[in-house]
Amino acid sequence: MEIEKIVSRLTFNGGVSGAEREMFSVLEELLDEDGELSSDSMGNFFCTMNKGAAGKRFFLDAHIDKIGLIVKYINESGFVKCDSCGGIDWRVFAGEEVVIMGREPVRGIVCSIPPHLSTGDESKPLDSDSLYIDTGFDSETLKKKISLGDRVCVYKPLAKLLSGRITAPALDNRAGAAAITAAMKLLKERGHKGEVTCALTVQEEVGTRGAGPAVFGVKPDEALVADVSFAHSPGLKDEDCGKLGEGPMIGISPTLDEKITDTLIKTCEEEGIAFQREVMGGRTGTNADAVSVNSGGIRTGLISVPLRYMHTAAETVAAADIENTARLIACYIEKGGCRND
Amino acid sequence: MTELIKKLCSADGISGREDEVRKLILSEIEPYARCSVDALGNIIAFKKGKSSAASKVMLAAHMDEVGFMVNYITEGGFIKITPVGGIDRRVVYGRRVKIGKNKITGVIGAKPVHLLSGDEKNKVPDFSEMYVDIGAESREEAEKHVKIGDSVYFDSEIYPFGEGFIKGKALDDRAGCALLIDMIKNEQPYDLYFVFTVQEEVGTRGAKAAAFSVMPEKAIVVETTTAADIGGVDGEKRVCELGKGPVVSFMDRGTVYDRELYSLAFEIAERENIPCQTKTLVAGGNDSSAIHVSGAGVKTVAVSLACRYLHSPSCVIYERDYEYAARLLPLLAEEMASC
Repeated sequence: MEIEKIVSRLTFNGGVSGAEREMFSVLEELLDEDGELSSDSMGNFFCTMNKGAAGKRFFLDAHIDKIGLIVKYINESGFVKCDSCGGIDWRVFAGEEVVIMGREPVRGIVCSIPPHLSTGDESKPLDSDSLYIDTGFDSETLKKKISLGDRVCVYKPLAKLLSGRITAPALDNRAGAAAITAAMKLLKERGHKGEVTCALTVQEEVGTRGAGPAVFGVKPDEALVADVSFAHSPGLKDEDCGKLGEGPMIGISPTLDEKITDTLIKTCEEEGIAFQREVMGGRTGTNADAVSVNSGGIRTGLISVPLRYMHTAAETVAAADIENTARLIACYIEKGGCRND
Repeated sequence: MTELIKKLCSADGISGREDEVRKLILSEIEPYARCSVDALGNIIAFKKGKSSAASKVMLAAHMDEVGFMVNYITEGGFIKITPVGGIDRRVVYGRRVKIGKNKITGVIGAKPVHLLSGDEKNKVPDFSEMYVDIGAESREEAEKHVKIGDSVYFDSEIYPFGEGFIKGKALDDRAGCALLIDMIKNEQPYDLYFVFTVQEEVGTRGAKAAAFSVMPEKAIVVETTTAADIGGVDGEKRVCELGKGPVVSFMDRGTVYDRELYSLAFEIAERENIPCQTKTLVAGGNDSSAIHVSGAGVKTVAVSLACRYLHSPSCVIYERDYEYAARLLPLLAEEMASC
């Protein structure tokens, strides 16, 4: 399956932190042929190939949740107030099209005040107190469709830009999810014999809560976490970022297994896969932080897809970076994983 | 939602670049009116009525919408833009846009929230700091697709919204254009002039020229006007409300409206049982600011649809308000033309 198709299926509506089950039908459809499907009590979703096979057991993690809003109040005229669910950027919400994942999806618009009535504070972002969603329904009708606690996502289908780049909300981390999904398909295609579990984990955006329980249930020999990281865009420092389209970013950090990191780099060199090094002085801010210290310690590596405009509806990646992340993961596993020499 | 409104809002036309909209409107009205296009691009249409009018009445709606123009392409291939018309930058940051005749898709990028300082988190950047990412890797590549001076539009679909609403970009003032087109397609008791104006959003510039050409005695400006009947806004600051019928203003930032015509509009509405409201705040302005002082002065009235989120990618009107306005306007024009 083309990488863009996988990403497109994964990026549309649903799956804000805590409501990842909304993604199950898409995940089932995408991974059905690649292994045994299961889920746990937190809502982590697994696809395991060659369960019980001899040899090293690999665990692939990508968080499937995304940032969004959570409904906290419906006022007497039917306008909806929300709180943040994950680290949202309040600056980018005014006038945005959203969908409330209620008993049925309800489309809405984040209210904005027109410039004609501006009081001159146009630099001031909305916050949870000033943000209202208009759905075009009165309070009574709306309450039949949605409830407090429903999640709200930005409504925007994937679009193609030039140079093989794609934009969609939730590419953080549906890009990583697409990479491990595609890696499973590559391994399956090439007849891989060992056990690999691909885990689409919950609640990363509210504090890396899902990945620990997910890996605890598997206790693999090695874990690879696929996430997204900052790609350079105007106004950012070169040293803070990778570059879009220049390959997966391999995490280098005291919290990541050094030998795995080295082997990932070696694999790229052997296979001619473009890659970038991403150095972090401590914790990585990804599921790798939770996975590595789970179950008495799990050797963990981190690979990130470079992404621009993180946590906005303008998130942009290069499709080739996702493809190369998938290739790297598949080759790494095929070659037996971490080499200790 | 009518097919006509959908077509009009799907067309793109920032101020001074109204070609797509003009072409569409001409194709709709040419069988029903004598049309000409002036040097600025205004459409001037004469609609023959059953009898000649006692007063020369002109109805006006503007074709242009707010948007942006490309003013620079960086070495890295990012597109810098400048707003055309009044736009609150908060509704722009992080949005998707289309550029130029080929409608190249781009996103207005934002620095990731993780890398912002405390001050930056609480400040939406100026337009001068914003840029569009079309995926180009260099200026050279970007220039193959985008030129300096190209128009930039909000990428926003039009669709029925909630219970009886319509959501779309450019409803300001394509909804007004649709009302005029409907009138032109129907038989009218008196001769009427209809103008579809250019460049309203950059200072009601087209209307000035159009009014000079037509030299009306009376005018009706058909518009959308800002409604703030939304969560968190109370009292007079709501300005007007969706669902309460067309809005007839007594005064805005550009015009003190003719008192007799203002009253006439409400009299007709009452007589015909058409809901009708006024604005509770002196705010905004429209083509009447140019029209009412043209020539030796023109008695002018504005009939507007209440519209939420004006000048954003997601304007919202109420369908029934459109129907109310479509009933009120011909009656008002008839009375104005009859004496």
